[in-house]
Amino acid sequence: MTAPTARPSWMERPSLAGTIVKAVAIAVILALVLYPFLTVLATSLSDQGEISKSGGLVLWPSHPTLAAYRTIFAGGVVTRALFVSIGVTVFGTAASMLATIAMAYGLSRRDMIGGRPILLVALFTMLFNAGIIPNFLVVKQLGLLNSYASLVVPVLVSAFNLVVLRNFFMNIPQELIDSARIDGAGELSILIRLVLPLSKAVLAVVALFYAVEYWNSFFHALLYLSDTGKWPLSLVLRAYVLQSQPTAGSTDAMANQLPPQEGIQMAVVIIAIVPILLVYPFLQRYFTKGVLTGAVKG
Amino acid sequence: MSPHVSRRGLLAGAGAAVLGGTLLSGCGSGSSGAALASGTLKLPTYTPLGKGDPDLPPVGLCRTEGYYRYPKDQFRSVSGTPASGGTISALVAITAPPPKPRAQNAIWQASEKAIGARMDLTMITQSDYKQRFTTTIAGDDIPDFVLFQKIANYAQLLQAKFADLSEFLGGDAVREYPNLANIPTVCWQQAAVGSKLYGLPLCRNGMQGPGLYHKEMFDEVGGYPKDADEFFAYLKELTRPSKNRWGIIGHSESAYSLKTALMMFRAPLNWRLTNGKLVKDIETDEHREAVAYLRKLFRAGVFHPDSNAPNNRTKNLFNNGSAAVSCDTVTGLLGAVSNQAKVNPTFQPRAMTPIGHDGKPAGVYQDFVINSFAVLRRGSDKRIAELLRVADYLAAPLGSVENQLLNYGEQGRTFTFDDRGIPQLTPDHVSDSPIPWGFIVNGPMQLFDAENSDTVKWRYDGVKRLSTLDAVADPTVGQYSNTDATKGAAMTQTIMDTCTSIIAGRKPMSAYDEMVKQWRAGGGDTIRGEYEKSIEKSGVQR
Repeated sequence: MTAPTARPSWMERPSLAGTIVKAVAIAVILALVLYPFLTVLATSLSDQGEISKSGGLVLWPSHPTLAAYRTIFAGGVVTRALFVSIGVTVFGTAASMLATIAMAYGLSRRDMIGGRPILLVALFTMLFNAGIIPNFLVVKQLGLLNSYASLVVPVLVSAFNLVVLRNFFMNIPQELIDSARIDGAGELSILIRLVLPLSKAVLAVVALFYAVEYWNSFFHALLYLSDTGKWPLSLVLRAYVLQSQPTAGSTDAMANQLPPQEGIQMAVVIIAIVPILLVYPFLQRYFTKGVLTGAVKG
Repeated sequence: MSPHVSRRGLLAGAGAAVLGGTLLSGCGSGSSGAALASGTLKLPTYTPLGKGDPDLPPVGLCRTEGYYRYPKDQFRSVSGTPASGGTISALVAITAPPPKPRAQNAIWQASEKAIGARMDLTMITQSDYKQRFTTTIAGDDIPDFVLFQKIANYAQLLQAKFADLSEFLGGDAVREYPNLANIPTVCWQQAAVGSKLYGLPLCRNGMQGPGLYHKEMFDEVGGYPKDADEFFAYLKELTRPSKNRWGIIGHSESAYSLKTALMMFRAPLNWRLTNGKLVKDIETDEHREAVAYLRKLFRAGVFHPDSNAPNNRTKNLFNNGSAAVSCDTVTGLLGAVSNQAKVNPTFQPRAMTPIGHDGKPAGVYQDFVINSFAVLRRGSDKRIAELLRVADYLAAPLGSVENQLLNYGEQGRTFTFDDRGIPQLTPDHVSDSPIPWGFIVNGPMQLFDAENSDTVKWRYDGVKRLSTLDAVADPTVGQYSNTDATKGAAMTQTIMDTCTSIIAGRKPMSAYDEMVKQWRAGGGDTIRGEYEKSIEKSGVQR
């Protein structure tokens, strides 16, 4: 029997043909991904005539203009909404993390009295939604209508995120927790000093889930807020996307001052995805790790 | 039908029951909508204001007029301050981004000062409006003005929660409110339910028309077609896929421009009433022929491949000349004409008039009389009268002091006149407008575009030409059928889906008869019976 001297095939130096095929394949995939992005960007920078001429989507603007972006940011409505969204996302994510961590840690302790029924109640919300009207009535009874709290409280704890966190906490070796307890640590101390530092990856993932949800959410604002000054960015941008040419005579003059709908729609897409694109690379390594952790440990 | 009930179906049913129960709790016992069908409806008497100075005089049943310039001499249409303090709330839709919030909005504040009350407007994007409307009703926290949405059991809802305006506005009583009296009676008709007047109409131009066409393209091939065969021949001639041009384009909700063909074959608008008996449009030979005709067009390849794309996309494809005909509306000419110079100065987008399939004149559907209507929360007579005075103020037409204030605010502060005499919002107040007052009430449509007079000229021209034709009305407008209110939208969707499939060749023509059979068995005959009773009681005969 001879000792295996050859290296595995994936460690061999790739052939020229192989490299070319891979490069072409990657270029094609990249083009497929980038093409829509570039079209969106180009259309957002085009004027009305050009968009109409090309049938709605522009590949290369011949006379680039920032008119759509100027319209969106004029008057401070969008700027204000941007601050509302940042506030709701930051405070909402913090509140959700606090509540979810506390609940998940409690439910992860096997000796917790009543833990199972509480978990079942939480899981029930994953399977069955209460519906728009019952939710509205609860928010109204709590006196949260037209307040920022109405954007956070109804979605404070996501059952999915709770389960992910609970399962992660349950897989931390019991011996570690026991040793901390022997050293005199209480439950809060164990959670803060031991469990959370060991769960950074999954915490980053869950925080990202919450942050994206708060950032994109418009439906609660639509139902619960009456004051447009409290609208988050997602809802204001939705109004830009859904706007149509008014048919009321008195507003015709205003309609004509607006850049084309497609230009604004595409500018809205750019504005909405930029913040998430900026955050994502910093969380990506945790994201992959955290999702994998959840996938293999039940 | 299978007796099997799925878990999902059961839950959906339970959910619907809960929704219905929640919405109608507090509607009182015994209110079934039947009361609406008794008695005679007394509509407001149309009394033109006669104060404006339009460049293009009022035309058509909805009295649409046009202005090429901003009216120089302003007139006062309302005397005194309509409200006596306090707060007036409203739930309205918006079709544009929201204006600045009330606290920072100088035009809003100036309007409140003139109206005499704080105006709390809750604005919801039009496509999401139904969700907010149902939750608002369920929460029983109803504003003073509500843009109404027809939902299941809406007649009971109207009776239980909203004011009957018949007494306040019926007949000559409307003259108390000059701007409301300026609204044509046909618009009020559509804001009534049974024998009671509930709504303040949001007037439109009366008819959408069969579509738009590129005049210059048809001139190339022989002019405006005279009958169905000529229309088909011209579309075939105009279709040149190698030049990125097709004969006709529909959109995702048009069932391949079905309306264009329905007018061509003289199908009724929704229902036909003969001697007190109703016949649904799909039950007529004319409707069937229209579907068969479009099927022929589809087979011939004259439809643009994107004929099932969303409306905005297909508008662009018509505007850039990729299609010679579009099923867009006469008001849709605004986008086509205003872009035309930049896209191609030789283009001449125009409103179509119906082409009779046999070369004889065809009628036009009276399908755009109002956008919707707003209702008033029940209250004392004094409160209703106050709200109607406010509505009267909000309905002030272009050329009035009130209209200028509502749209532009105060001269020198929020706007200035440019050298052409057109109000221009000052940079700090550009986002103060438009405030959606027009979703509480809207008077007759006034076309105005000081920047591009062609948009006024050709839209007005379209409305004027359509107005000279026989108007085909829906005999069930203003009548109530509980089954239609509950199941009508889903049944209509099924009809549109089936017709789309037949035209595109995915289903055989025989599927049409099955569709009619299913419609009748699935509630169509019940709807017919309910409408016939309602019509009989209200004494309408056509």
